[in-house]
Amino acid sequence: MKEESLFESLLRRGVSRRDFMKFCTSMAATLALPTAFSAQIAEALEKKQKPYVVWLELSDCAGDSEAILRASRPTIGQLVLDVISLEYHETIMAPSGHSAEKSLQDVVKNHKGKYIAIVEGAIPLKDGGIYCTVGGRTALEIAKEVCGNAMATLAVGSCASFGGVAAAKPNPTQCVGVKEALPSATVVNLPGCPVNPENVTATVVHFLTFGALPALDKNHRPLFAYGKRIHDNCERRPHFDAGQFVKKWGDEGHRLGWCLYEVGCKGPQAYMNCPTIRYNEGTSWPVMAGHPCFACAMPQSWDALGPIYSRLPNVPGASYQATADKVGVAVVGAAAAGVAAHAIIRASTSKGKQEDK
Amino acid sequence: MAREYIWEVPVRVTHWVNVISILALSITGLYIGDPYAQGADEHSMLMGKMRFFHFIFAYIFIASLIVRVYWWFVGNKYARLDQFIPLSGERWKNLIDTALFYGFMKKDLPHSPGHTGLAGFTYFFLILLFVLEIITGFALYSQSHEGGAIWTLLGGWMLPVLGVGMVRFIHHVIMWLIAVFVIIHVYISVHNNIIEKNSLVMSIFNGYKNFQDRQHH
Amino acid sequence: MAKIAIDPVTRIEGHLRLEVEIDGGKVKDAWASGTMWRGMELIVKNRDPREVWAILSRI
Repeated sequence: MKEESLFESLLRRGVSRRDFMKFCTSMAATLALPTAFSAQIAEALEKKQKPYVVWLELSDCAGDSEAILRASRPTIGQLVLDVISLEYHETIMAPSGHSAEKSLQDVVKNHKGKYIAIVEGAIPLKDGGIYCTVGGRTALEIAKEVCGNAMATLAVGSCASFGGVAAAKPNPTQCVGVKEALPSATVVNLPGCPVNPENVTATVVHFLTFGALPALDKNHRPLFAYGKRIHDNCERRPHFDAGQFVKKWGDEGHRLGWCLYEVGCKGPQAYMNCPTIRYNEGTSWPVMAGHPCFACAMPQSWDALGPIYSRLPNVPGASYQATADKVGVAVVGAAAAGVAAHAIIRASTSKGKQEDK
Repeated sequence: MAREYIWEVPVRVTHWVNVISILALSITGLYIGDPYAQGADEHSMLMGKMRFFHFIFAYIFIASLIVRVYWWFVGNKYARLDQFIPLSGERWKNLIDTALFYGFMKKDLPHSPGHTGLAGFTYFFLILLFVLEIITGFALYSQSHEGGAIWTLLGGWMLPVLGVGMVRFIHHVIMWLIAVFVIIHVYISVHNNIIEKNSLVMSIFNGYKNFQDRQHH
Repeated sequence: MAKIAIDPVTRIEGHLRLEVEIDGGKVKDAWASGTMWRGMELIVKNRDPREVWAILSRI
């Protein structure tokens, strides 16, 4: 069973060869590779043995697991995640307790250096990492062992990538992403809240085909998925350029599908392929559904870009309703008032001088 | 009464180019940050045009700055760098005395044929603000020019250092600081003109100041 | 007297540890603990109320 290739497993799940080839072509597209590469992808998935994968859940909400499991009409991409040799996954595996941990240890020891570790959820560092333990060990200890012995680690979701919502101010448990907790591990960040499963599949397929991780940006995110700005690929961009903005939630413009810039869309600052591949088998994504993007895949996304529904970041130290523009107007008003006061004083003192003369 | 040629052509031209550019950049910039009008229809291209003119005037502004900075080194004695950075004791005294006069703590405005020490130093910091505004502007601009080395050099490098949220914030705040400067600058120019009766305001148009019965060097 | 610990409890969302004390074939005492905490109540403090849903849906 375990010696099967991905293709063989997919065949057993009823995927036709034709659909398999279509899948390989779409994978090439997702990876921003020329279609000629689909043949190479197909060959790798047919010949090579399925990789062993362990899926760790640390300080998480299981959202990334849910994203992959909730598929009602799973694409072959999602089936791939289904049929890879998923040796350990707390939310779906059969054994629990002791036996579950044994499954994990089996992979780490028997296939040392040859398995892929997928990590979901952040790693808390405060107080010795006690805020997340599994089987009596802290998340940090587990990650050190499992990721340290893996061929590569895929940090799926924003929490595993950058700390995510757990690390939002004031970050009570000092949560950080996998790469920050284990700087020497080979980590690919696949942020998103949740991650888009298609990007996970594509990364795994890339790895199988080329034996290497895809090209990464400065934040260790694959360029094929996080290289393009959402604002530049958004279907509502023409409304932005035309100056047609939703001003208030539910207004006429909102009903007409206008640009969500004014209600806080962070698309101009966010980099991900949401507009292109969308979520839930290509059904939709936040902006398409009428909600502004809040740059969930960016580092410190919950704090760095300001509130979800505001355009501007808050003035540091001011109350949450202050924005740079409000403060700007106030400061200019103060300057104008000060200048007027100065003029009045000057006029009265020089009048005094005139009388002296 | 003596009529002296103070502000050379490049000084005056760059001043007015700056005025028009800053006005245009502020109007378009305010729109880009927080659109204050809706496009008439889907063909209006309103935001597109605002961005277009913002970028055009940005380049005009940069050209003007380059010319003025160059003129720091080749202009007449009233345009030179030493008028902007108080390096001599005399210049410092002029700066302090001018400030004290504005603060109603000194009776007379010290005689400054060119810039007062305070004005010069203020303009120097203003130019630093301009440079920071330009760099943050290019940083934001670089986001739509992925992988362009020139944009990274001009300002894109700032994004990973400060984060895009802070870069935007700085870009906004500087516009407001410049607005505060403009208010004070225009007021003081008129204020000094009235007190000194030296046709200060006319001088930025025709270059000449009229000095009333005073020895000056 | 024997003590059994089951950690992790799998096939649930989240992290759970169960401990049971058994004496003479009967359960004498039992403990359940959630073994992960992120402090979401602290995180939503001082934020715009309109974004609380976005944060707490990630519990």
